[in-house]
Amino acid sequence: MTDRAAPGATAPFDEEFRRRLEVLKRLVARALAGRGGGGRAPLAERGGRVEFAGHRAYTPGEDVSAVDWSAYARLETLVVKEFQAPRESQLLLLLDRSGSMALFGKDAAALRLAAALGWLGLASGARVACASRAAASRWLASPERFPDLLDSLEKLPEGGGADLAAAVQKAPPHGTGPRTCVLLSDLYEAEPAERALAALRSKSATVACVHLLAREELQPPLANAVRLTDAESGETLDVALTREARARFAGEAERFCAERASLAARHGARLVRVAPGDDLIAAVERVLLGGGSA
Amino acid sequence: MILGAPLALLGLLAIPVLILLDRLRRRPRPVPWPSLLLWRAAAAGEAPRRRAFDPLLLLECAAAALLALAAAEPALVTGRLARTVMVLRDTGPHMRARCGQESVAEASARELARLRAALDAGDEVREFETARDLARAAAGLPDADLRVVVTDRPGIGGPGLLVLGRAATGTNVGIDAVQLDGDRLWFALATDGESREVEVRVGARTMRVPTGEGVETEAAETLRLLDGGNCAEDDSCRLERIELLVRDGLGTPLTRAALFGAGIAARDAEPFDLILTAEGGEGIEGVVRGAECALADGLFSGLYLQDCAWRGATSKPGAGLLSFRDRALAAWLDERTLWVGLPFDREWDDHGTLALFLEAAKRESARRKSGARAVAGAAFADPAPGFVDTRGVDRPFHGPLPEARRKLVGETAFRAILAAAALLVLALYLRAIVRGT
Repeated sequence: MTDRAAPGATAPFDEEFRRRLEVLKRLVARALAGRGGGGRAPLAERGGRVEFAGHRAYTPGEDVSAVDWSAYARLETLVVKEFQAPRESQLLLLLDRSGSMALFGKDAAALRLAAALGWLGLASGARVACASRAAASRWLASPERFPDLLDSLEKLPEGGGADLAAAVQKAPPHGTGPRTCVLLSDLYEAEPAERALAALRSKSATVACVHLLAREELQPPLANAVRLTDAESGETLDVALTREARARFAGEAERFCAERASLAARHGARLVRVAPGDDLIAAVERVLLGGGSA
Repeated sequence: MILGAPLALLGLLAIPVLILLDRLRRRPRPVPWPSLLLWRAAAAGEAPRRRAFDPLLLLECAAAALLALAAAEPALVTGRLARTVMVLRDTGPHMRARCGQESVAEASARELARLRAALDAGDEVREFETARDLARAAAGLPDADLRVVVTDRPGIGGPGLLVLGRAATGTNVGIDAVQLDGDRLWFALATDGESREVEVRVGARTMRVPTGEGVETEAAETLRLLDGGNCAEDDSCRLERIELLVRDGLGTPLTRAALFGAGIAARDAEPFDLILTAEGGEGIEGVVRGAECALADGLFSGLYLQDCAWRGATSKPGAGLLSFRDRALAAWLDERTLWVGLPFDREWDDHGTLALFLEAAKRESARRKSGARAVAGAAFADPAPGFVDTRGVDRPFHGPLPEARRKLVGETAFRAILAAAALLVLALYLRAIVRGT
């Protein structure tokens, strides 16, 4: 069930994945050119240009190359041009790499989805970083840094809990440009998720919440009596999978998904449910361009 | 109720095994799961589960128990059958030999009385008697709770098949004869590897007989043949003496045949002396063995071996020890008394009879004719393993009497009912499985 240590498991970023990214790149290019999809822009804002802000008086000792000689000719006083700092778009990928993500291929799916989103960000001129509760990468810019992004994603430590709020704190300092943040988690722990969403909201980030749940989690392929072991805490629970127990579990699963959607909505985030094995490009479209839950 | 095969109840051990297997089957299978959040929520409010009663397990156990009970052959005991005891009494002349104060036959009667006293009222005792061929008689005893053979013979082989015959002149063919009963002799011709037919002369008759086949003759003819004219015109024989000459190495078969034929001839006669002269035979083994068989049949009052020139043996009448191949066989105690050495090995396992007979013969002969004596050696052979219990009077019966068989009813019915019940249970079991309960 876990795919981290499974021998012979497919590498997260194999040739097939990279080929599909090329397809995704063309899709994004069309979207940036206003031809792709009918939704909003993939990122809220884009930046990167240096813009003139105004003049101020020259202070002796300053670099004379900063003096606006045209203005001196008109005004006969030394003034210096001031420029506004570039407003770059930023994409922050927050990954839950806790123990619960290790089962049913959720972790690998999260890594692939994050990589695809990162590629999209880099290709559209945004700065991209990734973080988890224990580590974070630097901001990366330009598509040439995509291999570094993959490397950073793979190096995010696994295990532990799903403290997404800690991941927000671990994230590198952001710039002044518009920010988009994508959370990838199974959201079993509501409280850290809520704190993370609140923190992101306070930073005026546009947040997309990817709710990664395997189909097996919602419809367990189990029978008879089982002793379930929590992947993170190690606690056990004996369950007799009677018809009634299955019905109760299905109800709880439905309620759980609704609660997490509500949680995201409360913090202005958009929640997209994705299952491992879903089509990657379709999943990226739903995350960036909008769309309902799976 | 009793069980005919109580060991089959070990099959009940299958029940704890079934229960154990069921527990193993029900043991929760460990499964790692991302989070117990939803499971706990689903289990909240659920009443604690009692261990479910499993009708399939109950059916499995019931089927195993029923099959084990059926295999144990249950039956009802309704009574006790009377015991049956078959007694075969050896009435050969040797049984008249006295061992101290009482004869062997008297000791036999005493032992039988003791056996009867040990039986319960209603037990059935049937007695059979035979003076000859004890082994066959014992083998033919009806089935019983206890079969008793009363004899003083260490082995119950008895005379059995004996050989009788004489080679035709000029042939080198061994002729054996088998005594079928008291009146008929059946001559079988042994092959010599070359002759296909031999000439057999029995009295006045001359027959050409293919080798391997036999010729029937009458005891009277044999009598004349062997007697050489000692019988009266009315065929009544008054034998006092038979002299036999054994020639040319025919050894044991011919010697036995000759001696036994003489014995048959003398069956209704007074005991007589047999003078046996052996010339150039195969040796003392054959002669003594033949003599022993005839003696064992209780037909002679005395046996004298005289002027024997057995190859490889030496004898010195009066004092010498007759030996052959380093084995002491017989010795002349005096001019008319032969001491016959008794068993050296299994080859001689019938010779207890011979010894007793010789003892009796000595006494009888002494009574009738002074001077005619035979003395038995001291050694007795151990009994040969018999195919029925042999209780000689020298080994009184002290064993426990067998338990009487019980009258049993309902064996088949019980088994059938239990097996049918087991099948029914199995059918219910299969039905429950098919229905998925």
